Parts: sequence; structure tokens; C-alpha cells
Amino acid sequence: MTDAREAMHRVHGHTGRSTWARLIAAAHLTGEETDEPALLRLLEAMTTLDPVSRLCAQALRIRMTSYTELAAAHAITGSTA
Amino acid sequence: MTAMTNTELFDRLGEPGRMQRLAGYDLFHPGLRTDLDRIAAHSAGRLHAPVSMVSILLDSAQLVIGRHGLPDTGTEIDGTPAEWSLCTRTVLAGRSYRVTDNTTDPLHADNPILAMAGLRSYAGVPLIDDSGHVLGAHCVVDVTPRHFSEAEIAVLDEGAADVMRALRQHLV
Repeated sequence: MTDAREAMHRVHGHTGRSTWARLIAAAHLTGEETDEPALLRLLEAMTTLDPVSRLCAQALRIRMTSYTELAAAHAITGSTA
Repeated sequence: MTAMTNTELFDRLGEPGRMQRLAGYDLFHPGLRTDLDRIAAHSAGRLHAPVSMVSILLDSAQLVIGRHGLPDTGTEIDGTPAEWSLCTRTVLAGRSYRVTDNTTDPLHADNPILAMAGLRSYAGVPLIDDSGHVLGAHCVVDVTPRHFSEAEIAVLDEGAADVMRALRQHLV
């Protein structure tokens, strides 16, 4: 959730704070949640909020997927590479 | 970029003006993806490389929008965290970027994505739009150590020009 907030502030520049407020309202969240379902709901709301937020959500999904896959690979191989 | 933190990297990639330019393209249009796959296949064939990609650098991740030699995931989730993407270096440099052997290159030897995929060498050129924003990169990747020549970079530049022509047809 912190990563998402920072990303929204970053890509929206001076409108970042208000866009974040609009996003969490649209997702019916407080922005303080830490659970995965809340994050997934936030990403879904980002996807439909505006085109820049959609790209931002896409980047966060890629990061989540990549880190999950890497963790799984390391669990199997015991590698730290 | 060596000493660049993720925050610094994401701030550069996520500059609002650049993100607005990216959002001006319909990057998920199936017709665009087909065209870009064709361009990637063409570059791979001309350079005798097993893998070629067309990528957009989002604020914190590389999004692959055209591919050859990589499995199609069939989803929109297809890319790499920006800090592990060689195309990030091409985009930040704004010019061609080459890696002869990432396993012996101190900048890339500990890259977990390259290690997992077994990729060794890379050549990429930037995708630059009419406003001068660097949107992404067109690249080839090989599984063996390889030095890419200036003539081979010129081939990639031709592919990048084709990519930009295709993207311009998908402005929204």
C-alpha cells in the first residue's frame, strides 16, 4: 500500500495527493490497510481511475508477480542469486 | 545508474510528463501487440538473436509489449521490475546500450532475472517520441556472450523507427 501511494504521488506530480484521495475513496479503503485483498482492490480501482494510474497499477502488478516468482524459484533451488 | 537508489530510479522513470506521454498510447491494443511482435521477430531474424523485445518503461517496471522468442503469458502482466531491466539503462541513457556478457559484468552479474532466464548478452536502442521523451527500448538478447557491432545497432534503430510508426497509429 505504501508503494502504491508513493507511486501515485510520483506519477501525478502536484495532483498526486488529491488523486490518491480520489483513489482510496473509489476503492472504499482508508489507505492504511496492509492486507493483500485491500491491495488488489486498490489496484483494480487504479486500473479504471485514469490512464496514468492504470499504467502505475500495471507496474505494481509486474513487480508483485516478479518478486513472487523469484521467491518461489529460490524456495525450490535454495539459491540466493 | 550504478549508485542510483530505487526511489531515484522510479522518480526519473515516473516523471509526470513522461507518464502522460505513455498514457497517450493504447499500449494494450491487440493489433499493436501483433505489429510489435512482428517487428521483434524481424529484428531477431536479422540479428540472429533468439530473443527480441519491444518494451515500455513504466515508473517502476518494464512492460513488454512486443516479443519474439519469449513465451506469451496471455495476460497484461508481462515485464520486469525496473531495477533489474537492462532496457532501463537504455532508456535512462537515451542511446544504445550493450552488454557483452552479463555474468562477468559487475553491473549485472547479480541480476536475478538474467540469471534465472539464462540470458548473457544484450543490445538495446531507445524508443523516442516526437516530444523527445524516451518511452522504452527495442532490444535483442542472446544466451551466449556476444559483442554487438555498430552495424547491428543500426539494425535495431531501424526496428525502433518501425515501432514508433506503429505506436503513432495507436495514439488515443
